[in-house]
Amino acid sequence: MSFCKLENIRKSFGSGENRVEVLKGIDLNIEKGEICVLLGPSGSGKSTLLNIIGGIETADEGTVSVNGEKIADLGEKALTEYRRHHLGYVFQTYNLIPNLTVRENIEVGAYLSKNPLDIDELMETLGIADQKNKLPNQLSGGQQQRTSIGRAIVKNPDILLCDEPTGALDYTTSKEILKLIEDVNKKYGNTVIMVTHNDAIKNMADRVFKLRDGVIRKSYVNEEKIPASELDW
Amino acid sequence: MKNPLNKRFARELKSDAGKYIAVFLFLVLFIGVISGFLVADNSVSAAYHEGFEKYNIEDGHITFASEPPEEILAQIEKAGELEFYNLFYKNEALVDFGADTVKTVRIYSERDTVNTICLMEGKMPASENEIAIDRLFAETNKVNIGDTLHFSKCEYKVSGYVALPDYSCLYENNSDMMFSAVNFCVAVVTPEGFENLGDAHMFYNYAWKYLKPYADEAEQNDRSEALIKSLENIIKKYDEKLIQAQVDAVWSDAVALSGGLEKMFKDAADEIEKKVTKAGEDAVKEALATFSQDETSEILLKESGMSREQVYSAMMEKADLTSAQKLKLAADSKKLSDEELLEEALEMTGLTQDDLAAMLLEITGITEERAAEILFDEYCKKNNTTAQALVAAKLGTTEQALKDMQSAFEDAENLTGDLDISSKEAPKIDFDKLEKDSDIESGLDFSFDDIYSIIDKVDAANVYDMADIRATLGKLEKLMDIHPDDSELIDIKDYIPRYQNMAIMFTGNDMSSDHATVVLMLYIMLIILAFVFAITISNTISKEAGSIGTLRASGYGRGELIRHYLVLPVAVTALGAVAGNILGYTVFESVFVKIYYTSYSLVNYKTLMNGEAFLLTTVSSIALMLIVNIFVLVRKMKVRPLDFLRGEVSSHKRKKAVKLSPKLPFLQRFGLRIFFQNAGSYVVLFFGILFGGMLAVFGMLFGPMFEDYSALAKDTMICDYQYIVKNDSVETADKEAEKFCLTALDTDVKGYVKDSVSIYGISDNSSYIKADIPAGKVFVSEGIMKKFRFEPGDKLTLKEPYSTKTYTFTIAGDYPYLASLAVFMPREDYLEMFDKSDEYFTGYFSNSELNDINEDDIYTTLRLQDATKIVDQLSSLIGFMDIFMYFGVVMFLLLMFLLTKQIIEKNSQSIAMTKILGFKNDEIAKLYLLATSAAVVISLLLSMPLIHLLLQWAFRYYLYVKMSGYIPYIISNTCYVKLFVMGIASYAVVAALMLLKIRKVPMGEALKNQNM
Repeated sequence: MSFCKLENIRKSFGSGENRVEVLKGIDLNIEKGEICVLLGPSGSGKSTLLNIIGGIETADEGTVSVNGEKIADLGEKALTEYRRHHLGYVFQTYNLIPNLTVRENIEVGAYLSKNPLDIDELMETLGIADQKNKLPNQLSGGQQQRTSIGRAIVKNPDILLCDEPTGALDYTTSKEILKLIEDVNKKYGNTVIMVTHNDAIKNMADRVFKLRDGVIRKSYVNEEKIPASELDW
Repeated sequence: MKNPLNKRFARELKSDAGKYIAVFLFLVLFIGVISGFLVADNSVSAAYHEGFEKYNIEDGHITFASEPPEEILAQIEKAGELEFYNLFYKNEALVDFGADTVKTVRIYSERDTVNTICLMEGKMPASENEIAIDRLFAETNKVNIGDTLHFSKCEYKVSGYVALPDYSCLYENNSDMMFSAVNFCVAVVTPEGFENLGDAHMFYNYAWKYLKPYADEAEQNDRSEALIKSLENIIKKYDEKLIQAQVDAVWSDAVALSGGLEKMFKDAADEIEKKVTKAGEDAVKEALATFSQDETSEILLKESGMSREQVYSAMMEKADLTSAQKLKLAADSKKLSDEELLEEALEMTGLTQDDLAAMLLEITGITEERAAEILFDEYCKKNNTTAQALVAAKLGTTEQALKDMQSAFEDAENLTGDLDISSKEAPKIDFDKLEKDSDIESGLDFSFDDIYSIIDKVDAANVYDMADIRATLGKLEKLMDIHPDDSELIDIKDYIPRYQNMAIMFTGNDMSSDHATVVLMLYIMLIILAFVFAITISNTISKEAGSIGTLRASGYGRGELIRHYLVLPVAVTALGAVAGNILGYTVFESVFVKIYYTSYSLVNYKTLMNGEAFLLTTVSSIALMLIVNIFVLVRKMKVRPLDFLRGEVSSHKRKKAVKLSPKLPFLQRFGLRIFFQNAGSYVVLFFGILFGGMLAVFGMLFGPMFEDYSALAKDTMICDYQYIVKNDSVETADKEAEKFCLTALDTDVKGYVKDSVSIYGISDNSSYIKADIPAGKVFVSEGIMKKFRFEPGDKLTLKEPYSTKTYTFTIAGDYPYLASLAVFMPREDYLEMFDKSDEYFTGYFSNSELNDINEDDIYTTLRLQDATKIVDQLSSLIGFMDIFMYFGVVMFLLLMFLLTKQIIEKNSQSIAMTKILGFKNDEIAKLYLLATSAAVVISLLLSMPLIHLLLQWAFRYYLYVKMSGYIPYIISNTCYVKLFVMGIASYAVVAALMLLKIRKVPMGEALKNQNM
């Protein structure tokens, strides 16, 4: 059985005439330790799908199972526990807590885990050890995203959910961040589910799902995976 | 085209309804209360001020202890250019409330010219057994129309309620610390009803009106000062004349006595001389009789130096014998003894023994007196005594006493003539001098002590009964110790020009100070609210920085945006103010009028529109809100559009993070970060809590303070009963009663209102005042020490009321006595300072009722419960103080709600993120409420000592200065405990609301674009 399994996921927003069906019966399977990319243009429903996997959005229909546990059946408390112990989130807009330093932002993640990674070592890995006492508004976008990844990864989650992690970054920084995600995946073995509209990023994935208008148009296992450092767009 | 941004207003109101509703409701309530107060204050104040003319309120009054002569009144009227109106009253104790409750009713007869009466309800008394009483007293003590009030001599049926315009504030005495509608009442009866009360408690009170009205307060003051000087002179002249007449009468009695005394002394001297002479003669006679003829002859022969034969021969010649007789004698001389021979010779010659003795003296040339002296001396020698001792023995006294008496009489010869003072004039009285050293010099040329010394020596010699002389001298001495009877002097009990009359003026002054306090409260509250708005606006600007940046980049001007962000706070303030005003006029006005009418005995009023209330509550509120918010917005909007787009809205760009030790637990560091992030909000919160706390403590403190004061005042009372008697001949058989002296002086400390101070003269080893007061110094009550900030060793100068005479006391320490301001001094010092005779006293201390003193002899009785009379009144007024406490709580709730809410909103994205990360709601609440909880607790804890200090400062520099009397500043700890509990409870409510709010923060919030 797949580590992460989605069956017939449907999701609509609005009501009556304004009702828009964003996801129209999605089925997908992701294996443990894979880097999976959900690729699609704006409005294709990829972020909604990611949020449903992350338990911050609920599907109207269908089931989501992670490691054999059905998320849709969980109450709010259980969902919180699920996110707490199994997930790490990385956003395009970083969502760092503005009045906490780099280290403290990572500690926010560590606080939730019974066995967190070593924060200083992680900061070294992320290349932000020198910035540890700075506030987010003193950092560049790349540094903020590294911090955000640090916060997500410090609790060593089963799944790392990344929503357009390079959406706000320049080319070079984007590549650095992607490499970092790749390194983290390798080092800690987390399953990475990454949403992006950048077609080039699919090349670093183990598995790719292409979405358009709420439907998976194409899904495949990437046999010709290349390192993030070699990506080009 | 209308500004499209305007469409946001309705949505903003909807989305932030909680904040706007809270602020709106608070403003409505707060401005409603303020506006209601201002309208009530204005309307009642207008009625009060119009009353001066409408009821022809006096320009002042003088109260005398006895009815002064018409001529004196006429002189004062002339000097002061005024007219007196008789407003006699009687202070009667009401017996309806039990023996332990002292309620005094000041009963007047009709008043139809000055201080006319405002009938509030019922009707004026029409018969002699009807009475109209003060409305406020009636309401406070639940006396209904138709009830019967009982006094010791009369009873009256209450016919109606009145307000006397000269007692809008029920001050029994002008120097009382507090007015009292609980224990003091004014009332009116018919002239017949007034008569029935008797004269025991009558006060001869005259209200005056100036013939020519004064222009302003300064002139009122000048005229009053001039009047008191004239009054002093007129009364001084009258009193001087009265005293001189008394001195003259005394002198005339003394003259009569002194003439008699001189004669008595002469008679005594003559009599004593006679007695001594006779005793001397008797002594000599007795002594001579002890000698035989031979012994006498022997002694005299010895004195004359002649021989026996010479004398015999001379005697024979003198005897003229015949020759035969001579021969016979010669023959017999050989056989007869001398005695037999003499006998034979005497027979022959026919001579007697006395003839022989005379013959002997003639022959020897010694006089009879000399012979007696010689023989007496011989007698004394023989018996080893003195002539003086023999005389003294004859007189039945001792030789020394006789000597002393004789020596005293020699001295007395120098006094001759001095005792008779008929040629002297009576001493002339100089009132000024009399006031200074208070002794009238008699001008006598002798000393009573010298005379008494002579009398004592005569008495010691027991030769003459000097009792009459002593008694007469005693009378003279008593007469010469001239202490005029001052009971007939004009005794002013009260002199109060209108502007100093608390019963008339306090209401008006209190209304103005209430007005000032309320306006100050309004401004403080508005400034705090304006800052709350400023913080929330600032928060909104940070949140909307991207949009603002875009708008600015698109060409929106800074002013346009400032105006935009100003609209809602100003609109809410304006709406709140208008709604508050409506509420003020319709609801709160009557609430405050009721408060005024439960504090003061006011005449009828009409509600008046108050432009000032509108201006202060509405225009000022909006203006203040505009000013504070424009200030904040202008500063915020100074940021460049690009910086807005980058989310860099702080003026302190790229502020460094405060270093926190990683050793601190994560939660604490998180809390500290929140604390630093919202420091501005917490500062406002602190000031809000301080102000709200001050209101709350102010609302709470008086209840426990009065209870504490009441207990302390009772504990420190000198005794259960202090009787002030009408003269020092009033005696009691009660052995536990202790006499004391008492007078009242006024303080004259710059900057303080005048206080009346009781000066006690305390007996040595007093059973009631347990203090060893050093001679020449005084102990003062704690009130004097604390109120005027004295230290031991300082000098306290007090002034005699209605006079310029001052007295200075050296403070040795304080005495725990709280019922009034008092000075305690040794009785001897008191008698000397106030020139009183040794027997003088003013009253009795006693722990039991003195039933053997006639009620008419008692001027007043101070009972244990009188100590707390003021507390009874104050306690009756503090009901409305709760309003301050409620406002404090509302303030807590509002500020905590608004500021905590904005902190949560400001961090909503982070909160959403923490939710996504897997934090539980209670953990998030801990993270985000910990800092605010700490801020609330710290603010509450910090505000307590500050409130204590601020209120202490207000007591010391405001209340003690503006208010007569003294109440110790004791804030019960329960007030602070309550404050803390109220603060925490308010915060608990807010925290619960915020917990709900945190729960409602959608995780999708984190997915929104973020401006940082």
